[in-house]
Amino acid sequence: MATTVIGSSIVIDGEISGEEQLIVHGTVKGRIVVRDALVVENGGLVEATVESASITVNGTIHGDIAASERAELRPSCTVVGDIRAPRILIADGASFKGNVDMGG
Amino acid sequence: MATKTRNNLPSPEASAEVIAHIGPGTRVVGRVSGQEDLRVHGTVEGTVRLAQTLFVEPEGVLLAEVFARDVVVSGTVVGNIHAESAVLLTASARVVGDIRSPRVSVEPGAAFRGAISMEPVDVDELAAEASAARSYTRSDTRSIHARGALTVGERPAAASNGDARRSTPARQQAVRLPPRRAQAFTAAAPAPRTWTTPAPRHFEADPIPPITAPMVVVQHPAIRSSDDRLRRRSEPLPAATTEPTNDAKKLARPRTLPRGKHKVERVD
Repeated sequence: MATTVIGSSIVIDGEISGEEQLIVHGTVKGRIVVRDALVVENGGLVEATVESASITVNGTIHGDIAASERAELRPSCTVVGDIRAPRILIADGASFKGNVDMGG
Repeated sequence: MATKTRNNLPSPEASAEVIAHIGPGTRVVGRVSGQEDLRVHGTVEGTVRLAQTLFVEPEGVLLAEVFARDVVVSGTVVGNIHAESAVLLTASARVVGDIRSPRVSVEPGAAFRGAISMEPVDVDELAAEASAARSYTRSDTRSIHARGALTVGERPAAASNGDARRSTPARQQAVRLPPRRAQAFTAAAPAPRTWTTPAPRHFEADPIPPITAPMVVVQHPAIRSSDDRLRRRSEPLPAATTEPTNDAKKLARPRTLPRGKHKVERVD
């Protein structure tokens, strides 16, 4: 089981750190540091500072995002915060407010 | 526990993959709460509150205060566990902390250090409420405690809880002792009233204080009405105490006395 899943009714107030993929259906407040990928699914709410290799957002993130590889904002997502990533994908329909830093 | 059915999750994204779990390489520090099952393969520090079942898998480490409906521990837990329904420590469990749950199972091989309380979690509040609600009634503190304990003992049985029900007879046994003495005394009395027998059990504790100090308590109308033996013996006495000067005059009148036998004795 190489993933961590935060279910839709789970609320975590604190810090999550790990080596593996993290999938968030529920709510996380605080700080997320994941070495692998982070996926915020539809309905997921992250009010946290996020650090990961690859970040995919279908839900909502309020907080700064730092991805070492890529950050992808899917059509249904809402992101408020700064994004720092070498590659950033923002799909049509995504809602985003914040600064983008692609390390240029 | 592997057969545990998954909840119906409200999110449309909740597919077959979605059982909330924390993977072996993941560490969560803080408060975790939820309405669904959670499986911990990794590390959680802080507080966990679940409305459903918490599984601590063999590689999972929990340094946390746990509140859940059920807790199944196969891994390591350092912290207190509060479960509304049940706690199961499997053979691979390592637990340091106190467990409070109406049902606790410990499989052979499990390591555990701490205290276990199988009383329902809210029993103290219930007892306090019961005592406070009854404190206005006339009775000594002993019977207040007895009633409070009796109420506490009755509640787990109503909640259809097997382990808690097991403790109920012992509690009621302790409570029943004073009423038994009172019943024996009432049976020895010459003319017991019919309503004293079917009265609720907790009323039967009331004759005890009058026995210890009959001359004082007889004057109390409420207690007098509850004890037939004392009432009968004391009937001539109120006349004597209220009007001591007319004692002989009053006794000489036959109609004022309900029992002619007494009249004969007093007059002589």
